[in-house]
Amino acid sequence: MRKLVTGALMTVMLSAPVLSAAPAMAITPGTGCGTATGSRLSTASAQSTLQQEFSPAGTCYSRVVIRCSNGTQYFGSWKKLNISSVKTCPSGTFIATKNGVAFADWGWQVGS
Amino acid sequence: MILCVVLSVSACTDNTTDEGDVASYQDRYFEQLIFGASPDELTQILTIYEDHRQRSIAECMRDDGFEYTPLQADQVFQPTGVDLTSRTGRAEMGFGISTVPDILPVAEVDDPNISRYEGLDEATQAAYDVSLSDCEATSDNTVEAELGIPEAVARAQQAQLAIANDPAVVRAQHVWSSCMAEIGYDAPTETDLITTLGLEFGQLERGSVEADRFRQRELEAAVASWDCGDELRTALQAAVAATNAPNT
Repeated sequence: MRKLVTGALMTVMLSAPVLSAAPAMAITPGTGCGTATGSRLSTASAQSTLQQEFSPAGTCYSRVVIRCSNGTQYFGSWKKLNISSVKTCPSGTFIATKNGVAFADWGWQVGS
Repeated sequence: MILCVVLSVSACTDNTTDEGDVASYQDRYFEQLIFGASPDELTQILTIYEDHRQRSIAECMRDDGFEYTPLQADQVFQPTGVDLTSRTGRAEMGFGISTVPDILPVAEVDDPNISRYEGLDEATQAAYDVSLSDCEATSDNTVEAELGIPEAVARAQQAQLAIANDPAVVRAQHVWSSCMAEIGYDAPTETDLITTLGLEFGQLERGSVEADRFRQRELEAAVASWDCGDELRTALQAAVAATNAPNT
């Protein structure tokens, strides 16, 4: 089926998400909490997990970040070591791409 | 279940389900899927959803024996500010290729539930983790059903099929493409144009002179695409209206 898209029509099943994305990178690079890695679960979902923790237990959390085709960046819940943070784009939207790469990111931050 | 989905997030005074409010929300959800939405409109739509979802998570967690403080919507999502639905918006943010940071700033851990979580023993934390994951998934399904979102998505898919087969839209798409070609952009659709520009930007070093020049081109292309799209927007509106009269 030929794509017929223009103006603000950026919708459900269109094949080319339009908003910015980037290859995987840490949200907040730093030391003390180990490494968070992640993966896409589908066209609309991604997850991340903090796999190593070097700082005192209970202070490091990670979460996944995705940017969706509706032009919004979403955060998964903060999760502790080895617990996956999962986030899905709203129904009818999908993970956006930029330069042909899906915008899904993950990283950690030190909790309060 | 409390349901208050009118034009604001506030009026939530009883536990009745107002079918009119659901229909209204469903229409707004449909519209933003098909035509996009301004950042303000999109934020309202998503905030209504998230407020319902957070309340649902809290109820679910309570049923599992845990206290959960609903998060504010802005702790869960952050609009990029790209607005393809107006000429002014395009002049400010273009298509969102070079105008939006690769990743928006992320706040420090801002979840009020974290401190409570840290006070739990290890076994209870594990149970909490399971409950929260389950409750988040369940609440997505529950709230989507409450707000009529699956119906809105189905309508959008039907509308898209109708659009693809509409002769007036096909003609208007050619008009758009010819108009853009006259100013140096060779693309059958705006989506193709955005994809091409995105790949081009990906080759540029951030902050370089070339990237700055690209940004200017992107803004100009986004506005030009709007100007070339008058006929197409009209045709799209007519095609959608003809095949997808809301709630009839």
